Amino acid sequence: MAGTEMQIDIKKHAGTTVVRLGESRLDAAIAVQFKERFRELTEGDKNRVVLDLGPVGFMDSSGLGAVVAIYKHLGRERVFDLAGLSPPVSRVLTLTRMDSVFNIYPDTDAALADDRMGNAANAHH
Amino acid sequence: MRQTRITDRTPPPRLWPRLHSNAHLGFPATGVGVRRALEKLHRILDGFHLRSCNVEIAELVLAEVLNNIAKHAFAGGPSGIVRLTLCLQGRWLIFTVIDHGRPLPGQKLPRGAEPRIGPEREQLPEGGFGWFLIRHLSDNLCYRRQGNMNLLELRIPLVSQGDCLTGEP
Repeated sequence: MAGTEMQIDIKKHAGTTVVRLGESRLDAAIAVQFKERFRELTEGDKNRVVLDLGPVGFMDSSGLGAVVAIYKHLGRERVFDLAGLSPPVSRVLTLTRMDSVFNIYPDTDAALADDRMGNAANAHH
Repeated sequence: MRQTRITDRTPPPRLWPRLHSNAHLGFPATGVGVRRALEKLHRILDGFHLRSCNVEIAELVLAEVLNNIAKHAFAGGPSGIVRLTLCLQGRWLIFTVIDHGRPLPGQKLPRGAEPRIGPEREQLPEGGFGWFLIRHLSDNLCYRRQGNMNLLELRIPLVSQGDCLTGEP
């Protein structure tokens, strides 16, 4: 939102960067800002990236577009996974069939427990 | 937001409400205006004691409709006011949306074809989901250009025993 700093933080684990969006909504109002901040936070290494959307209770098509855009921007060598999707966020991915593109984990711990660094192709399931 | 008023916040009976429940919202056709209206809509719908997925689906459909208006109907010009009327009738939520912005291209509803998801990361679509979601989650979608006014009506079927994830009734 204009005038307020978006809540987003980053934690680096061995080989994996976890980006957690601390906003209740990933929507048209913050999609552009989110893309920019995500790119800044994930530049400069080859780490796998896990995007934790745990706090997000609402996502619209602009939010989904932003998630696809950051996934594409990382380039084909970078592994990118999603974690902590609430039912409304899950629904948007399911309806658009984007759930077939991403590996989706219940939460960050589950994503970290499943170390996919050996599977850098990020094969679709 | 001075234009906003809620005429009826009385919750209807539980289960399938038989009574009409109405709400009217007026708000600026901007990103922030739409977000605030959606948050208000969410609170109004919560007051109707619907299953949470019905509230979530309605919020998603209206987000797509209203963001489309903010983004296209008033693009490059002064922002206007959007008026939204909600009516809970039997097993449907019926919405009427009115604005005085530019008409939809060709004065027709977009087809809203399902975006194609291929295996190539570089080819994945970043847009085109909005009208697909609107068409998929609503029925009786109807658009009219009347003078300098856009009038959109749609109906969202309430999910009862059906699939709460995908909104299939």
